[in-house]
Formats: sequence, structure tokens, C-alpha cells
Amino acid sequence: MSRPVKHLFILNPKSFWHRWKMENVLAKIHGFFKETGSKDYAVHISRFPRDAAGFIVTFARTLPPETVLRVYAVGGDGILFDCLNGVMSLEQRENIELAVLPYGRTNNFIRGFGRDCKSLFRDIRRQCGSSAIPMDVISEGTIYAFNFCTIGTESLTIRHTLELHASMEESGPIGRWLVRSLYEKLYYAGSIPACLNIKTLRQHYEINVDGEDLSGSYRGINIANGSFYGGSKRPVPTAMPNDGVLDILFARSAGRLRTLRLIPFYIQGLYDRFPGDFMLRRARRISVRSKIPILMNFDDLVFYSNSCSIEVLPGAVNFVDAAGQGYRGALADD
Amino acid sequence: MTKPGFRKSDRMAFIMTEFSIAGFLIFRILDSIAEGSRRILVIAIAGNCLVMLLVALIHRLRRVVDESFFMPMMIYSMYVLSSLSMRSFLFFFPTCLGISCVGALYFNPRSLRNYLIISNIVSITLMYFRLPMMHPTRHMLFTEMIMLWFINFFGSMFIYMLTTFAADKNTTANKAQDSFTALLSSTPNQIVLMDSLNRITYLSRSFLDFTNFRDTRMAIGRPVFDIFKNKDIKEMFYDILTRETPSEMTKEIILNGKQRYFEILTGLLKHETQGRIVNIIDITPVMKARFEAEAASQSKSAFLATMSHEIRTPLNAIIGLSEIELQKKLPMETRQDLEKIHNSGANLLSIINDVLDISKIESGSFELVSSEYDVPSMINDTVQLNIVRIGSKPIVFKLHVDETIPIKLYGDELRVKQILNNLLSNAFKYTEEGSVNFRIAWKQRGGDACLVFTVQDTGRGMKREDVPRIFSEYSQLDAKANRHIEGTGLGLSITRNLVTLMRGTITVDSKYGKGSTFTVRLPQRIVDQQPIGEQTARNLELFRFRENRKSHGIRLMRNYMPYGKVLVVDDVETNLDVAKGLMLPYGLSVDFALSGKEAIEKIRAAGEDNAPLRYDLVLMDHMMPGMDGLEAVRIIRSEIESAYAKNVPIIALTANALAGNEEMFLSNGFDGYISKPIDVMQLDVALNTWIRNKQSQDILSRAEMEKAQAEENTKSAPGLLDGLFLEGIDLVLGRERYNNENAYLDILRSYYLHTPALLEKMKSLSREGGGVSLSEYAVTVHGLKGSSYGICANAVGRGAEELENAARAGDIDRVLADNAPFIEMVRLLLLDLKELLQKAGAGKKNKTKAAAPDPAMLSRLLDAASRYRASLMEEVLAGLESFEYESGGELIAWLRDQMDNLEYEAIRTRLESPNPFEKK
Repeated sequence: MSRPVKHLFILNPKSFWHRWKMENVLAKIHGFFKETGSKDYAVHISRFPRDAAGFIVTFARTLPPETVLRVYAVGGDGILFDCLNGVMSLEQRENIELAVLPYGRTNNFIRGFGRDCKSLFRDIRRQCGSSAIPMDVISEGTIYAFNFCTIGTESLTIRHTLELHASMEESGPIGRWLVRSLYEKLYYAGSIPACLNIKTLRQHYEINVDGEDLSGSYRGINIANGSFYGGSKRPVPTAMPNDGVLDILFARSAGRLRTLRLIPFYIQGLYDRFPGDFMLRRARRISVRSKIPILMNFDDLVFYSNSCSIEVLPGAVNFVDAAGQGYRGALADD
Repeated sequence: MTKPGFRKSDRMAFIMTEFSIAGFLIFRILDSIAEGSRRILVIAIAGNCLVMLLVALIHRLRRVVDESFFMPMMIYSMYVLSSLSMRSFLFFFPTCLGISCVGALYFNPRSLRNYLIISNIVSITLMYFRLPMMHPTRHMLFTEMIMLWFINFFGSMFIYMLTTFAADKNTTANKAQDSFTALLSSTPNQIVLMDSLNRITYLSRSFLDFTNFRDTRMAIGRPVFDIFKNKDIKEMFYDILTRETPSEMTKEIILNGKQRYFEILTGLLKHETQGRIVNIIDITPVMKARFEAEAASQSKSAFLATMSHEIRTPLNAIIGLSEIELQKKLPMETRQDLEKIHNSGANLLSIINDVLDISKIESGSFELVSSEYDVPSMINDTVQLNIVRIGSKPIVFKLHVDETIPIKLYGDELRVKQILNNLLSNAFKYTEEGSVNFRIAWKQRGGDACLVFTVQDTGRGMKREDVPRIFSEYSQLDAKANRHIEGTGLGLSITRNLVTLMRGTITVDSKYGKGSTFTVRLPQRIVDQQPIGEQTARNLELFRFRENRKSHGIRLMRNYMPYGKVLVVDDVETNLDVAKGLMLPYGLSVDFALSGKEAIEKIRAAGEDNAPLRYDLVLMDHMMPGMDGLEAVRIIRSEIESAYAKNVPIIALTANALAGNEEMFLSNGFDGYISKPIDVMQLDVALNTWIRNKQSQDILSRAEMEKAQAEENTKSAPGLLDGLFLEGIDLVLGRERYNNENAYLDILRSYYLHTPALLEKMKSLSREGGGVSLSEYAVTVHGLKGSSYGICANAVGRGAEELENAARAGDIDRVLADNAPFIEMVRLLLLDLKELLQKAGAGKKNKTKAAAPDPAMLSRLLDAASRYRASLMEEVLAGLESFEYESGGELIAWLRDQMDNLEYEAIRTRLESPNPFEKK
């Protein structure tokens, strides 16, 4: 006998350009369950960053132990990040499944399921009927991410880009329109001051990768679990969130101009053309320490830390594959 | 406080700067198009791009470079650029001033000297390269240069003054902000400020204990949930921050492997800086002190419980035995003494109960037991109990009862009575003369009735400063003045705690020397809205209310259960006597054991196949030396294989009356418990439940018949002593004590027959010797004392006792002086007794037939003989003699002879022999 399923939809209102678009999605959700005659669903609209994480924990506690909870992150990668952290905060995760209804500016993670899979993932009927597959998760303490973790210049670039986004969005509707239109391009604007920061470009790290000492000066480290991030960028195309390992790309220290020059190759995953600048390792765990604070980025969550220990949690989350073809990574984009 | 991200004024300055420069350059582009100058057009477009890039870079660089240097520099540069031509100057100067004002609001040029140096270097450099004229080849006059310098200098000074003026305001704001930050940092509390999206805007250093960070700056701007290393803290914050209202709570958190306690206060920030403030106070030392105090309180409670047990055990004997004795017909003097003993015991029990109550309240184990109750009965009980406290004092007691009070309420009736008893007893205690008014009113609040009790007295009252102290524990005001007033000082403290537990209130209004008024308001659920009515209220007020439900004076109708066998286990023999005495009217066979081990053996033997004796009920003391009741029951239930041992009902007898004991006993193999001093009602319920209710109807019918027969036998010889009187013997009391007139007559006859021999022995005492020695005399007179008390010849008994004491003290002079008068007194008594026996026709006996003497009675007789308790032996023997036996009658006659000759050792030896019925 199949177990009872409770569907929890968590919407990020910031992902929708107009309020009516979000209301349309809400209407679709309510319509579907009205049609099926089921009342086993709930909707929560996220109020602030990490609201979804806390709500999932609170909500899961109200359910009987045998009930399957399927959490739908409705929005972009931000709300997926929150939902993932909520799910990972639960002690018992056997009965928890995570799904995405992609309505964000970028939905990097589901991009690995196929280039045109967005419409499949937006189909609520299909979502509710699809089965879940285990997915790896990157973990650093109590922070979890699906796609990647970067350290160094890459993180600084993303920080600058996010600040630029924020300042433009807060300036008014034109600014928001500009951000929406130039979303990916603003990455380059953020990369210029980042590449000029010589301290970050030459930062020394004490690194241990599965017992191997790789200490040295690096301008950045990209620890990838998923193939894509930031829209179409795929610096480590071989990374797959179902292989149980992390693909770690080390970018050795270089001058400002060389760093600027390598950006286009880096974001297209052509690092193997510059073996002197890049080095790839596949590992389960990496620990990094530095005398000056390390700037880290976890799926667009940027913060400083004195040291970090990042590991992969193989098959930690059951992810609903609405496309039905499994995660194909960079292949899906080719 | 670090500025997180972009601020509003910052963005405004950035955007205005950008638009102003762009506007100026567009003007130059349009100007050049109009003039047809392609060169100027190219320069203007290139300049536009360059300025845009510069502004963007400056904007970014401004974060790391001193603002006081960069912003005036930038503003001044714009001013100079604007003076490229007169037209552009006129167009752009006001714009530039506007930008300067906005910039000045935000930036503070700290040093005029630096500013002047910079501005003049820039100005002179521009003039030297003739850039302001945009015609590098054109010759420039010195005066023209001086004029330009003046324009630039004064213009720049004007900008500086504006900037400084606005910056001063900004400095004031900064000072306020710095003070606020300093204030937050100076507190030891862990404080975090958040914006409306719960992102951190300020974090105190001590808060870092909760996080993964070593530097507060690393956490600024991040969602607060991301900074914690502990999931519990994360969840706790989610709980706090999703509340709409400010809150206050205490949380226990395991931090760095240590248990810590925090008080968490959250507040909402409103107006421009919307967000929240969370203030966390480490109260671990306070909580530790509290736990230690609670542990001490628990120890105190445990101590009190143990002490109460220790005190209740002897109290059980005092109250129980005096109660049993008071049921008998006693001489007035003895009765008064016994009543005093009984009342003192009851008072002591009440004090112990008060101490236990306060201990339970302190330890939080006090529980209210709510049920439906009858309001008029509750009022009547309270009033009747307290009215006797007036005693001989000239006090008028007035009761006013609101006739509309609902007739039935739901609440803890016992505790309501306790509250009222405390208030009324205090009122009577502290009022020497005047009046005590007790007013009972009520108000309806939804489905509840709020009872309002007012007790007003004209007693000594209290001083204003003493009023707050009256509810504190162990406190009695004006101890010197009140030293003759009994009490522990716990009453009002218990009252206040009870009222609080019932969610009520108590207030006091007192005037020193004039009296006090206590008002208690108690919410109680209404069960029956019907009012008690005018008639009932008047009856209560006139103290003539009679209720149907219950009566304190009710006489317990005990069922006769001769088929029942009970084992009583207790290490204190007096408690065994009390239990047996209380069960005597039931006709039960009572066996006893003095320890848990003995009880186990008896139950093991009873559980064997074909065992001659099986107990229907076991009453087991809880606390005994060596093996306690719990252990004994565990062994009985688990280690004895027989089904009998596993199922025999065992009731705990306990003097430890703390809450939760019933559950403890039930979970440890007991079937119930009876608190000590043994409550006859509880005992009656237990005996009926476990013995009577388990018998078949046939057995019960037979028991009823036996009871009727016994009563018939008792009635069969009525009147033998009726109307007879004998000075020196209390015949009425004797008949009551033995509960059987025939038996009593037999004892009297025996006394008449055997006493002369004793008197002869006593007569032979002489100073010279030749007769009985003084020690032999003491034994002889001791026997006479016992038998005299046994027949209720108390005067003779007392005389014998005095002689015995004198003989034992070696006071031969006194013995010789009193011996002859005493013998004469006894002789006269014997003459009167002879006459009485003749009148009573004591030979006409009509005894109940029985197969053989009851082994349980024989066992009791042996027990009494072992302890030399003559009165008890007489009582038991009288019971045995009240039957006519088909076999074993010889033993009873022999016992009577021995008894009359005070041969207790012989009685004991024969009864302890394997077959006491065998002739010796």
C-alpha cells in the first residue's frame, strides 16, 4: 500500500516579476488539487531569506512519521537553496522529497536535466506523479548546496555582481529591468574589480583534499557538485550530483591581466587548455584554511570564514525528476 | 557600526553625480554639434565615457579610500570642469552645488588645510596647462589667471563651507550612532540587530559564541540563520523571528558541550530602521543557583516526608487507640483524659499536614483534586467545624450567604474548605471579643462562578507594615503578643498558595487594634445553575442546615465477615493492635507478621497446595526495618511461584502521605493503600472491596445469619445486670467492654471465687517475716490489680496498683499501713459481689454452641499473655468463654483457672505447645 503524501509548495515572491504571475502559479496549484480532490497540500510564501528552511522543519514535525513530505521550491535557485537547507536540517529524511517548479531568473540545477526541461518541471501534474532520485549535496557545517562552492576570486566576483544587482534593483523599476535583461552580463562587470584585487589573487591556502596536501597560492577554487551556475556558466562540466564525488578545480595564482584574459575560457569549462593555470581533482572532502579570512560562496550565499571543511553527502536528498531522464549534466546542454 | 551594502544617500549621490556629469557632457556634445566642431564632439563623447568609468571606479574605490579626501576632490573636479566655458558654468554650477550638498550630507572633509592644498594644486595645474580655456595655444594674461584662480578658490571655499555645514549634521548622527554602538558593546549581553529581512546589521562580540565566526564583521549582511553552528539555535531563532510580537523566553541550549541557559528578549524596530533586536542574557549561573535551591527544597521535602512518616507512625497509635478506647464506655475522668490525648494527636496531625502541604506546594507536587460539590454542604461543614472555636469567648458570629449562589459547583472542595478554615480559625483565634462576620457572595463570569468569601473580625488587626509579611511562610506577626496563640504560621501561606493554584485572589485590609478583613475570590465551574434558595441560605445563616448527603456523626455500619482472613504486617506492635482492634467488629480472623520476611513466609505457606489458611487480604506497612513493604511485595509477586501469591490483594499501610504515592504503590504490586493513622472509612472500603464483595451470596447469607445469631445470643440474656448497682465496680462499662453479659458475669464469678486466696496471701505479710516476702507480695497484688481492672473495679485496681508500687519500692511501712484497710475494702466488695451474683442469677447461662475454640482468638490470647496484658487477656478469654464448645471446653476452663491465678507463663507454655487441647 502506498504511503500518504503531503505536498508543500514554497514560493519565493521575488522570483516573479509581477504579482499576478505568482498568483497564476498559486491558482494552478490550487486548481490541480481541487481537480484531484486531494487536500494533502500546503502553500507557504517565503517572507525573508531562510524562512523556507525554518518553515519546512516546523511543518515536518506536524506530520505523522509514515507520511511522505514532498517539498516544491517554486522560484529560482535561491528558494531551492533555502528548501534544501530546510530538508537537510531534518533528522529523518527518508520520507522527504524535494522538487523544483522553476520560475526563477536562473534555475541552474534543473538545467542539468535537459536544455528544455523547464516546461516539464513547471507541470504540476507531472511533478506530483514523478518519482524521486537520490542526489548528492555539498555540505559545510550546517550549510548545504546543490551546485557549487567557490573560494577566492570567483567568490569576490559573485559578491560584486550581487551587490551590483542589489543596488540596481533597489534604484527602481528601470534598475530591476536592467538587472533582468543583463543578468548574466553583469557577471563580467563584477569580475573586473575582483580581478584587480591582488590580495585575493595571491592568497595562500592550506588545503587538504582527501588526505592529499595541495597547499599553495590560488586565485580561486571551484568545488562543483552540479554542472551549471550563474545561468550558462559551467566551469567544471564534468561535475555530476549523482556520482558521489566533488569535482574541484584549482586556479593557480596569476597576474590581473592573465586572470582577466582567462575568464572566458574558465566559464566555458575550457580549463584543460591551460594546464599551468588550472588543476582538477575529484574527491569527497576538502578542507581549506588561510591566515586571512576566506571568502566563500555557496550557491550565491557569500560569506567569510576562517576555515572550512567541505564534503559531499552522496544521495543525501531525494530529488523529484520531472523530466524523467535523470541528471545528465553538461551533456544536457550540448 | 559597519555600513552594510549601499545606503540610500550613498546611492543618491552616486546617481546624481552620474547624471550631472552626463548632463554636462551631453550639453557639450550638443554644443559642439551646433558649432560644427568634430574635435570637440569626439572629446566630449570620449570624456563622457571616461567620466562614467571614473565615477564607477571612484564609487567602488570610495569603500576603501578615505572619503574625506575623495569626495571633496571629486566635487571640486566637477566644479572646475564646469567652468570650461561661461555657458557651461552657468548651466552646471547650480547642478554642481546640488551634488555638493548631497555629498556633504554624507561625507565629512576633516581638514581645511588638506582641502585648500588639494583645491589649489588642481586649480593652478589646470590653469598652467590652460585647460579651462580649452585653447592651449591661446596666450593667457596673468591678471586673467589670477581672476580664474580667485573664481576657483572662492568657489571651492563655498563648496567646502556647504560641505562642512552639512557634514556637521552628519557628524551628530554619527555620534548618536557611535554612542548607541558603544552602549550595545558595553553590555555583557549577546545582542543582534537585524533588518526587515532578518539580515544582520549589528552583532555583539559575545554573540560570536553561538556562531562559526571569530569576527563580527564577517557576519554583517548575512541572513541570521546562516551564522549558527548549532541546529537547535537555528530553529530557536526561527521560532523567535517568525513571531509577530515582541517576546520573552528562557531556553536551554547545549553550547560547546556545556548546558547553558539563556533568557531571550526580542523586540521589533520600527520607523525608518525596520527590523528586530534580539537580546540574549546568559542566566546559567542564576539557573544553576535555582536548581541548587530546588534540589535543596527537594531534599527538604524528602526530609519532611520521612519525618512525617516517623511522626505519623506513633500518631497512628495515639489517635487510633484513643479512638478505639473512646468508643467504649469509660469513666468521665478517663474519657476526658483520652479526649485530650485524641485532640492533641489530631492537632499534631493537622500541623504535620500543614507542613506537608507547604512542602508539596514548594516542590510543585501539590495537585488539586476537582469534583462536583454541593455548595450548601460545603458552607455548612466549614461553619460547623469553626463555630466550636468560639468557645467561651464573647464573640458574635454572623454568617451572610447570597441566596443566588449556584447549588453545585466544580472544584476542589477539600481545599476550598481548607482556605476558609484557615481564615475563620485565624479570625476566632485573634479575636478576644466582638464579632466575626463571614460573608459568601458570587459573581458570574461566563460559565464560571467567582465565589467571594469575606471574613471580617474585630480582633487585634495588623500594622500596615506587617500586612505584606502575613503570607510569608513560618511567619507569625507580633510573636510576643501572640505567644499564647497556637499555630505554625503556615496557615495563611498555604491559603495564599491554594488560592493562587485555583487562579483566585486573596486581599487583606487591616487596621491595627480594630480588626482585619480577608477577601478571597475563587473561580469555580458551575455544574448546576439553580440557586441555593432563600430557605437554605436562611437555614445556613441560622446554623440549622441539615443535609441529606452526609453526616459527620454517621455511625459506620460494619459488615460481619467471619469468613475473612487478614494478615497485617507491621514492625510496630501497637499498630498491629490498632489494626486488629479496628477489624474486631468485622468478626475477621486477623493474623499478623512483624516483618516483611515473616509475611513472605506466611504467604508462601498459604500459597501451597492444601494450605489450611489462605488470607483474603494482606495489609502491609510500607516502611519497615530491614525489608520494606515494597521489597516484600516484589518478592511475593515475582519470586513465589504460586498463583495465590501473585494474586492475593495487598494493601499498603503508609504514613508517607505525599502526592503520587498511590501510583507508586500500584506500580509496585500493591492493590491500593490506606494512609495512617488508619482511616476507618478507608479500611471499611478496603475490607468490603477485597473480602466481602468477593464472596458468594451463600457465604454472605450465612454470615448474616451468624451475625443475627450472635446478636440474638447477646440479647438472649438481657437484663441480668439491668437495674443492678454495685459500688466499686462499673457494671455498665464491664458489659460494654466484653460486649457479652454472660461472659462478664463469668468473669465476676471467677473474681469472687479466686480473690480470697490472694487476700490471704497478702494478709501473711509481716515485718518480721514468716509470711510472704515483699517481692512475692508485689506479684500477688499485681495480679489482683489486673483482675480488678479487668472487672472494672477501678478503685480496687488503683489501690492494688499503689500497693504494688510501694512494694516494688521496698516501702514496707507504707505497705503494712495500707494493707489491712485495702484487704477490708476488697472483702466488702466481695460481699457485695456475692449478693449481686445471686441477684443476677448468674447460673442461668445460655451460650452459643461452637465446634472448638477459635484458633485466631487463642493466638490473640497467647500474644496478650506474652506481653502480660491482663485486660486484653480478660477480653479475649471472655470472648472464648461466650461459646459452648463441643470439644476443647476443658482448655477454656483451664485457661480461666490459670488466668485467675495469674499463671501467665503456664498459659503461654500451653498455648505455644503443638497441641494445646491435649490435657497436661
